[in-house]
Amino acid sequence: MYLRLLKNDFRKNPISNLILLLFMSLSVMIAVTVTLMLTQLFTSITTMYETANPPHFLQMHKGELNQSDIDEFNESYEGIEHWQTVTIITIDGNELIVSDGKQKKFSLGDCRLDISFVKQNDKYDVLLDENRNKSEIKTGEIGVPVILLDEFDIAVGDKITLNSGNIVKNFTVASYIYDGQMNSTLCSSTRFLISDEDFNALLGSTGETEYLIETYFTDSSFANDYQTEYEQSEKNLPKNGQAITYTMIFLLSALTDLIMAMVFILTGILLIVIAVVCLRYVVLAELEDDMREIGTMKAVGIPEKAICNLYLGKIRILMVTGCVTGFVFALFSSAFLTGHISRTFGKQPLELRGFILAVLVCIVVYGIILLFSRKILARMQKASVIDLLVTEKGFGKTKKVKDSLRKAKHLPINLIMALKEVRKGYGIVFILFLIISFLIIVPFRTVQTMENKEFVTYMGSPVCDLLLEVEQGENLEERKATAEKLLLTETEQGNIESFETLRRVRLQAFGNDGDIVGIHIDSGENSGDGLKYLDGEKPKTQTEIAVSCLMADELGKSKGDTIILIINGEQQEFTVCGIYQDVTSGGKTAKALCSFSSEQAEKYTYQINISKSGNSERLTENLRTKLNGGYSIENMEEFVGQTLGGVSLQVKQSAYIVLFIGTGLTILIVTLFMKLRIAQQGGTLAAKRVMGIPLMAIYLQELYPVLIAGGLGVFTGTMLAELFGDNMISVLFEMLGLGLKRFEFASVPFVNYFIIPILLLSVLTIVTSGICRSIRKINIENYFNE
Amino acid sequence: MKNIKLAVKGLCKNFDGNRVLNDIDFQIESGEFVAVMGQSGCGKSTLLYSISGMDRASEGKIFFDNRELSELSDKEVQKLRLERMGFVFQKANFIKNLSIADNIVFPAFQLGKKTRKEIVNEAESLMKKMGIISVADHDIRKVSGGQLQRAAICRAMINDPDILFGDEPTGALNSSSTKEVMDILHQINSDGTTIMIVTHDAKVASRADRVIYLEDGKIKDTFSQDKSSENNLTMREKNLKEWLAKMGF
Repeated sequence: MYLRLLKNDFRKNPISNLILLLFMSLSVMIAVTVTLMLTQLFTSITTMYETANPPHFLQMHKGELNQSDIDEFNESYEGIEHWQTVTIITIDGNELIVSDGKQKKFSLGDCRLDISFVKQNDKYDVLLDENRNKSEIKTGEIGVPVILLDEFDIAVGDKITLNSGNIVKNFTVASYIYDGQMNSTLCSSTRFLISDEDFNALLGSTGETEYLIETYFTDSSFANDYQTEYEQSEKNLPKNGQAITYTMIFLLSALTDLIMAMVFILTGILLIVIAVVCLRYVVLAELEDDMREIGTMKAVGIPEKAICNLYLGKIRILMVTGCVTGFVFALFSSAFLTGHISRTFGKQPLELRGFILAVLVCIVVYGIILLFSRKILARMQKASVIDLLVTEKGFGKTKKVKDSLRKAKHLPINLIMALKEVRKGYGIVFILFLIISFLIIVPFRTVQTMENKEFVTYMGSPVCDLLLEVEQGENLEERKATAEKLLLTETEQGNIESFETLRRVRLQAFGNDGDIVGIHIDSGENSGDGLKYLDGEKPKTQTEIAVSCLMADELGKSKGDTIILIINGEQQEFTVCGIYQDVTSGGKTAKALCSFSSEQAEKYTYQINISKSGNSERLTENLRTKLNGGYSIENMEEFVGQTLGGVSLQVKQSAYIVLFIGTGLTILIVTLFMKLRIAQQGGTLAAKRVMGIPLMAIYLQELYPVLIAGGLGVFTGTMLAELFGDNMISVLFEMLGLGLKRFEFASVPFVNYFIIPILLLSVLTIVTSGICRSIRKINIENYFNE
Repeated sequence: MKNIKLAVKGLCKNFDGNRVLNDIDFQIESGEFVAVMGQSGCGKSTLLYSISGMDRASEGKIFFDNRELSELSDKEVQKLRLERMGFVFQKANFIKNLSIADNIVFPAFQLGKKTRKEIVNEAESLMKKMGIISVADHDIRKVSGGQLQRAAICRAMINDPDILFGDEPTGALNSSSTKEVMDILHQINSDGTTIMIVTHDAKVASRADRVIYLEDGKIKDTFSQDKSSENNLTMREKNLKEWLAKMGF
């Protein structure tokens, strides 16, 4: 009977039912897709990690290395399962040429990641093939990291030629490599796998030799404590490079897909809300249509539950159909969306566990929609037979209709009609645009902020044009003197306006709990100038120190507290005068005026401001030519890009993905909403046409309410994004442990605030106008006779 | 000389290859009250939609005040409907968010030929005449079917149309409401407005000066009643029913 009822109803209201079905299917599709995607992601990573065995703690190191110091330290440390030092050869991408022997020929010079060659390990930190087996590479062959395929067209069988000085070596691409620890573009490096023979032949004769000092624990959570002790060890263990723990490796690996999953979860929630709102709209309209029939059924004594079941039966059938179609589509869409997961972590067949979870999610969505349907149908019980048959009051809440046209004096008629209309049923447009504008604006404002010149202040550096670093290593003081002499010459020649010198030393400090913590301090007359302080201000006396927020957390200090530093073996007190944000050096730095001259410098940094007549590119080039080896010269954009490169790129990509999905979703939902509305309001629209109301006026009366609701949504979304968006990002950055605690959106030219709202409202106007054109085709006769 | 308000010549209308109206010829004079009757599916409503410009004729010509409708653009026909025609249907299809009074003033505001004050006064005067002023600010769901149909007549009359079209205007009403509505239509006609209605109800059609009977899309015959018998409704209804019986109705 329910099927027959649905069939008849489908004939009567085909568009409403189809749209309802579509929303139900989409809700299920998105919910199931996210479930499958997340299951696939975590299963893929854990399965991959079982074979790949990425380290629990990794310290990269460039320079001399004393393995026996590491061995001694690790032997005395409890809870270590294994340790190893992996040697890698870093290669300049420009020295690697990819060709297929025909037309294809390019270098890897544009690769954003640092390229290195490695040989296979036995059991720990193993590089895998696409079946997640240990990759075996023969002499003359090379395994290419799979993450490079997004950027470069490299196929199995292609040739890669290493052309470095006197060494020319050809490799054939044998397979793609899945790397357990360096499988995200958020990492700064990537590894190519070559055979042991080739590796040994190249070691020392090309590129630079670096080390990955890897430690494995009986419990991966030991990594953080180990890192602290490692850094503070009296043996001065190798640490010239980044250090990273297992949790961070896992997080960086999953971040791209997690962000994607988050976007889909929000989309799914939004679609379920829309499905429920549409259902309410359609069911209420149906109840109004069937008012007399329902009244009669009630009058003859048919139980309310039975009447309710007539409608619920239809919804159940629609929902089951929606669940099945949504599920089937989800299998396809998830196959598409998990492509990135397969590419990054290797192929992973859909597991029964994931399938069962997806079915459960499907049942939950079914339950939610059915629950709301029952709530809507409960109105039927409240309406009496008199309401339905005699007064024809119906099921709606008795809300007083205000006279607005008669009493309005100045507003144009179309606008008054829109203002009347917008109060009813347009909440979904408001909510949709609020959420979508918020979701789009926050990542875009984050990108704008990160690209802003002032963002450098989050990196413990004031705004300047160039940064010259005299890197840690041999003859530091001599190299520093050379650099300073050159900078003075350039200043005399009028190319440099001014430059400040910072001397970095590494000292030990006592934390509140008595622990000794290693601390990088930038000292100099102007140290701490031009930074944004979360609390306090820059150091003004020789006994004041400003610390980064991560350092303050680790030491348990706040402004006004005393820090005891160990200088030349003696304890000396300093007062914390300010706390700032810094994402460099693991976010744990300090600034002081005291020169700490008794301590050996780690490195020197020059913050250079170019004179008005100076040319940034020419000066950079000049400095790079004259200062080669042991220096790093970067303009501010390069510095920001390299320090936060992966993260800002990821945020930018996410912003575009959200913009793309958000705009697509806007088009879809507005189209369905307007189609549903026109189907439901057919009688009123037909009446307007019959009365001779101009089509343009009818269009405008339909367009304005959508624009008002959408505009209000966009305005509110923009306001919320501006007010709370940066707090949200702060929490996210804090979770990532990047050293950013208080992220504030940068001020941008006024016009930039309007780009996204205008884009969204333009999409809304175009889509609504397009759909409104169907009003012209309304069959008037259908609406005037029963 | 008679003033012809509406003239139909050789009107044909096809739907999906089927001829629904076939070679229809008739005229309606200014101030006349015409009813169209016939069995279900004979093309009554299609005729009304075609001559009121809501639908285009497949063949033939329709003149409204000597202006041929097929020569007018969609926009001109729409303007003609707004300014010079009024419509009352079985289902009024009011705008739900507006009160009764707002629904009535809406077409006049849209036309914009009178000031707001004039429109409101006109609407109130119409509502008083139709006996619905007491429900002027009511929600359309809170008034009876008869009141709603009287409001629909007010809405149709707000722009002072030359002709009022009705498609089963009493089709959904009980007998007392039907009488009320027909009395009002009769009054409007007496005030000079031309009326053309489509109906199944002989009692309703008996109020018309002339009844056109349609069969299979053609005019089978026409029946006229004298204005002088206007007060003897029983006799008019009896005469019409006898004629309709002859028509096979």
